[in-house]
Amino acid sequence: MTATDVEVLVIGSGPGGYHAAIRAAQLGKKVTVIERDRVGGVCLNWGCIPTKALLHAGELHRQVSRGAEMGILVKEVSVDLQALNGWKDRVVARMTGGVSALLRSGKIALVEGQARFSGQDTVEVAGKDGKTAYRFDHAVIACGASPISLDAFEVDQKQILDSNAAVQLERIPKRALVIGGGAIGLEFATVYNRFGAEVTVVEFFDQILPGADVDMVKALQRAMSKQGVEFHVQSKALGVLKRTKTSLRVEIETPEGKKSLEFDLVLVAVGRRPNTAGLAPEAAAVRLDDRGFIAVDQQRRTSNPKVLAIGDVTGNPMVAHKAMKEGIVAAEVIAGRKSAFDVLAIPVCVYTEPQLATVGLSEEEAKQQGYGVKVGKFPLAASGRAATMGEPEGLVKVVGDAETDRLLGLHIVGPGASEIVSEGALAIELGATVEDIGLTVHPHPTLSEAVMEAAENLHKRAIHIANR
Amino acid sequence: MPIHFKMPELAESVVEGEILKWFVNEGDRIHKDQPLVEIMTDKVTVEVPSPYDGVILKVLHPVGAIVPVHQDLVIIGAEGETAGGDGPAVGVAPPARTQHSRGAAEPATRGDAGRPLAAPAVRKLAREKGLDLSGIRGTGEGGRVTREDVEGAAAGRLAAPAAVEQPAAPVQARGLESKRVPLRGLRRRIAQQMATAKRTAAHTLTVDEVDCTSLVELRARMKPEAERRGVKLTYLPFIIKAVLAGIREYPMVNASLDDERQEVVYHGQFNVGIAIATKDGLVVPVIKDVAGLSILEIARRIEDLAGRAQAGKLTLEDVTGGTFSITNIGSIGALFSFPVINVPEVCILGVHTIQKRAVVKEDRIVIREMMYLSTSFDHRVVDGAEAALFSRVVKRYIEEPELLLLEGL
Repeated sequence: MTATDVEVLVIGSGPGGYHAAIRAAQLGKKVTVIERDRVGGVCLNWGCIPTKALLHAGELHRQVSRGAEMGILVKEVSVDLQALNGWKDRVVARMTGGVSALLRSGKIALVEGQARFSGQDTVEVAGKDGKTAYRFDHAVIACGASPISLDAFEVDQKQILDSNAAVQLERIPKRALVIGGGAIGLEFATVYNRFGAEVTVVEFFDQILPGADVDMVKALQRAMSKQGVEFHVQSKALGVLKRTKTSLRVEIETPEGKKSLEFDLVLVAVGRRPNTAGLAPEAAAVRLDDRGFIAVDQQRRTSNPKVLAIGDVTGNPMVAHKAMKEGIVAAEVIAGRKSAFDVLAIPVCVYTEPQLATVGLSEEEAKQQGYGVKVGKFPLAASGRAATMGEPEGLVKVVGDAETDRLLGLHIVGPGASEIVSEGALAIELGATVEDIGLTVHPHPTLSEAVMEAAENLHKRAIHIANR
Repeated sequence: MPIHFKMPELAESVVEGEILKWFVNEGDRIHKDQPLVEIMTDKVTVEVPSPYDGVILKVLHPVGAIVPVHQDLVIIGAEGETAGGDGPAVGVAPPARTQHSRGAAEPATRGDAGRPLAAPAVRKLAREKGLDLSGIRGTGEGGRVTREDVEGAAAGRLAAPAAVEQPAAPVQARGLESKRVPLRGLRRRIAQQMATAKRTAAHTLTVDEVDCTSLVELRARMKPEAERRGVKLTYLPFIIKAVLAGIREYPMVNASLDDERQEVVYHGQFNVGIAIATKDGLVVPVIKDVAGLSILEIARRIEDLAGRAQAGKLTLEDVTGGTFSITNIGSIGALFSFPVINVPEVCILGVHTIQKRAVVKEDRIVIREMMYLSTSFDHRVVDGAEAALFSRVVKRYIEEPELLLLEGL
């Protein structure tokens, strides 16, 4: 098989891959992208975009349904699932079409198939029309991650789903079990809950969103519990006891003992693992770390100097915006630029009801790292804007270094948290102090005021709450 | 009362110095005679000790700065004093403050604080300039490294502690590396010196071919004896003596041109500068008053100067006072060169490789040990005929080294 010579070969067209490809093309490189499934990867097809479409539709449903309090009377709210999925699919199609157009305008070749390394600088691509081979100057591995499955809950994508199938909302469950209290699990719990399902979330660790700030997790769990979502932490879904065409009886081990509960839908969302199977990274001497992710340096180079890797396949946090930034870094490094992935903090957003958004260190992490920690908090119950929205549930917390007053972390539970958290990311990157945030005028009435007030609370001088 | 310590007069004719390294930080205590700063002049690098006991209140110039003689370098005060008063020290924080500011100067130990405090665009700039932020003193609020700090450090890169360690980039082909290196330190001196020479001196070249067969034999015979006396005997001491013979007959090649006063300065001593390549660049230490030295002593001086040049240990005395220079490219194997005059001197002799060549002697082709001798001279001072005649004398004394003995040179 004669190999086609390419300058830059990008494996995967998800957010990391297409960022790497477009940036490399901007820098004058000839780029070829290999995609085994759909352009746009998980983010555009099964992740960020379709789930946010569903969540927004669910939000609209909820807002309309509760309008009576504000005098908005709607006789009957119902959901046309076909129309909902159709709208969501059009959103996805528009976004993936946009990426395809961007690739085309960058004169980036798109090749369909599964890539597999066959040497230090060669890749074989198994596509519909057989195999093709490529010899590259540089390759960027951006092939992402896939849902981890559980032996006890074999995914049939009808009654037992993984997140890829769940974005196609075939039916609204009456009672849904979500195994895994991470971001994906909680977002689907929110979707089901907004459309009226009873939802139970089972989390193996001692809190949902393991690693997140404890105060924030408590605030989110309290708010979701009020909406009827049931949580079992330090618990384990053991298996299906009895199964009919319409129901599954599932045994759950909780700290209070074993429980047997009935559901009509189970979502398995216990984590994601890197898509290295089939890629044969070892053929290119690309080394994996002890958790199976591709090991990279600050320039996102792997152990093979011609091969770089970005995004989920390189490890946590598995968020699109990290992959995007890494894609740009990788392309710049390939083009000889002195680029590096040197970000201090990557924001993470969970689009639950209310949302949780976080950037930087949690209070616990900051203490573990040896900081003298000071925190400031501001509950949304004291926010005028939250009151006008009828959304008083939520909390803003700032974590600061007692010695230097530098902002170490910003954590938000509340409506629109994902839109506000960037202020914290900017502050951390600039090395701003908590006082800087407190002294910055925030517009009124907004939810962002709560960030300023939480910062002032750290210095015991917030206006709208008793400063304890 | 804080003392403003000024750039010392390191030698006559030295008007400025480049700061290579500060041995102290602001807030440090310092004792009299403890090393304070390393300064490079256009001649040599000097370690300046502190003249006082005290505390460093303010370092007034960053590494890389070029400071004229007599300008303030550093403010030293008694413990607890501040660098108040007039001039550049106004508004300087007391040293205690500096010690508290975490960031660039002190390596932090925890979490992301291990990184210096700097905004993303400043980090990018440092990366592009190949600088490690942790080696840059942050002057911003709370020890922030500012854009100006990075630019200042880049300007003084020669002595910046560490370039960013980047593994060999895959994008660079076959061992070649694209980079821009600021012209600093010795390289800058060389650049200025060479450009001045080429701009001012009317470089002209005269060349002779020298039969070194006798010298090769003589040196071979004397080498073991010299070794017994602990000296490695090369050809250069003989050539230097041959030049001395030439200078006695044609003293204008051992002169300097004082451009300012429009005078040709004839030197009463033959002080020969020997061009030596070091890892940092070219240096020209001087052997003084060659007339009073034996071949063996010259060999010993060369060995000593070369060793200290490589170690960067030359003193100002070593590199000043030259009247004539020799560059020996023959040791590398070069056949021929056109050397640049070490202005304000007016002549430099290029010495090259000695190799067996077929030459015609008395109408017969014979094998002789031959060498090209190039005399590069400033035609403003030395005429072509004089230079050629000088070269002939040098040639004769190399070809017949026993003449040196005869004349007690």
